[in-house]
Amino acid sequence: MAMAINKVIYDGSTLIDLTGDTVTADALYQGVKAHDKAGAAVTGTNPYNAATVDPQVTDILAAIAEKGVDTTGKGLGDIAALVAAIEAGGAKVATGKITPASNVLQMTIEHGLGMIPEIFLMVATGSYSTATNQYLFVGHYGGRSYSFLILSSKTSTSSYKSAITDDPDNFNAVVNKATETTIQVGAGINASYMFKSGAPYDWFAIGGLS
Amino acid sequence: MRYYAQYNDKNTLIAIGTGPGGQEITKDEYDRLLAEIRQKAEYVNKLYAGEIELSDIPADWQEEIQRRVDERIAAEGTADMQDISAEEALDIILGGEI
Repeated sequence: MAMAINKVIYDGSTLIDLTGDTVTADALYQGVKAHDKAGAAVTGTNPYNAATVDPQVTDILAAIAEKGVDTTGKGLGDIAALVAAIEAGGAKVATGKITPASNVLQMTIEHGLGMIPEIFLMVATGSYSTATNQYLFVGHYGGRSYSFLILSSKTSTSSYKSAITDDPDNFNAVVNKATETTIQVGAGINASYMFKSGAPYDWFAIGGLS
Repeated sequence: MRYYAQYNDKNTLIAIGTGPGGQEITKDEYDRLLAEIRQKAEYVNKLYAGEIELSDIPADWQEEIQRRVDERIAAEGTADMQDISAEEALDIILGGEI
């Protein structure tokens, strides 16, 4: 068996250095192959595969539908219809948009819902093409300390990434704190900048579902 | 629709938005701030990437843009330290052009 190599130095110059990488099997999509910081081959075990999941519709709507709201035929392409469906199900929805003035790791958003949101959804508007690495996620701020869905903007990356995880360190967005009036969202500690300066993020705070 | 601007305790603009929160502003002011935010973001990206010099930036924005570039370098490293493609890595290993 070949010895794993995680650093290549040639003529005094570091050509490849994996020692600072944070790749782990559970952070990679199922079946995707990579090398970890030791140089060992790892195969992804995360079941949320971009090729098989359309998270913008299925995961988000499933999360809402789990709370008893009929989301049949509704999607993020018709936000008004989705909000109406949620409200028709007896829940309360607050919506807004926020655009950070600089790249930031976390933001506090005043949602004004009057209750702690059970689901908080943020949608990065993909039409702002200069903002890369935008993320879209829904956070369940219920009985669990961390449970969230992170989805990258389809239009900014040409592909989806998603994950439902209790490990906030290796993913890119978490709900750090929520009250009846505000919610603080931010990056996992291993992420770099998450919210991009100038990128508009639509948000939806949903409560009263359960 | 309600438009707002959000400032920190040093009176620095941290975000603009619609909905509840912040200090209410007019749509015209919102549009002006949005254009300014995006122009500054473009300057930060270009200065970080070495596509422009600090002197290409309006004088009253230079200090802020340089500070934001410095913060980005501290967080992400310099632009020339960013990841290279597998093809580039292979080319380097095989003795191709660097």
